[in-house]
Amino acid sequence: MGESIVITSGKGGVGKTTTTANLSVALANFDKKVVAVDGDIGLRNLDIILGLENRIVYNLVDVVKKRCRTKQALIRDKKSENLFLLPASQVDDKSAVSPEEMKALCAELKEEFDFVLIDCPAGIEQGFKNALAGADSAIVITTPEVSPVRDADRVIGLLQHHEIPASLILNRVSVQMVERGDMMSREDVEDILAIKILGLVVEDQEIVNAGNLGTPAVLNQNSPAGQAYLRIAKRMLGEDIAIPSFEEKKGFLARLLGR
Amino acid sequence: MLEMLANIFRTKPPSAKTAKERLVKVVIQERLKVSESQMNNLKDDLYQVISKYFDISEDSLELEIQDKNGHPALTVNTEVNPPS
Repeated sequence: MGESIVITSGKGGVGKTTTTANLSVALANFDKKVVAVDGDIGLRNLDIILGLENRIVYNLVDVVKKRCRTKQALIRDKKSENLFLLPASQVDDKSAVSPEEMKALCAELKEEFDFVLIDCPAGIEQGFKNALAGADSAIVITTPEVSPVRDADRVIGLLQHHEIPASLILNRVSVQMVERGDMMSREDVEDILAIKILGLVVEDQEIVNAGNLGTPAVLNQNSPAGQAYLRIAKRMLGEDIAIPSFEEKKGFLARLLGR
Repeated sequence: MLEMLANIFRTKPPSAKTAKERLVKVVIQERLKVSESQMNNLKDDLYQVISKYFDISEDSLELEIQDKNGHPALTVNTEVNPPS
């Protein structure tokens, strides 16, 4: 019996899909059977981030409406035979699926997979409620800016209301800006949100590259964000890995110029 | 040392501290799920009650939900006019 985890944030554009993709690839790479479920019906993107957009035949709505068997809708990853994608429908909207249907779907997937990672849509409406319905726990994503942190707090409150345990990933941290005092630190965000932190991901241009190529950065040794996702996956598997502190070792001039 | 030198070239004060202060305030208020209209009603009621005992002006009456050691606290602040 596997576990289902919803990746959520409230605010859009903070890295839910990127996180879902990277953690899915990482966990599969550690020999876990993983299914990445795109919960963003009508605005699917997990397929394109994983580079599987050309292989979609059936989708999540087809599965819950019994237009196909679950297995028929699952797309095997290009590289990992442990990783599957259940894509969202692009032609339906959030009301095409009910929380009960999502719950049943997640229960079914948990029998087959070690991890069911659900990419939640932005917002706190129907799509959010659906994505939560079958989740055992939640990973909340935020960046260290005022609106995502405020929205994260709102989402954490709603998760508590639904009795879903949650942890936090602080994404797109600019070490230089934190050191200058122009970006909230990990400690600041922890103070505000009062939630267990699962990981910290630094701002990294490789994420854009990875998206361009449809190859998540997590297996790229040269991607600091990818390596951070790898550490997060290990923590999810119970390894005790400290969150590294980022001490800058840059030169005087680089620091003055803020580079 | 480097930090000090870097600060000499700064033109603006660091903004993260302001962000945190603003967020703590907003978040603590939002967790209580009190609407603006409820706060306004409370303020009206408090004005009526306090006015029975003190001469106060409605403009000087301030209500704020603040963080007190991790717990939300309602702070009421008002100027009191001495009896004439």
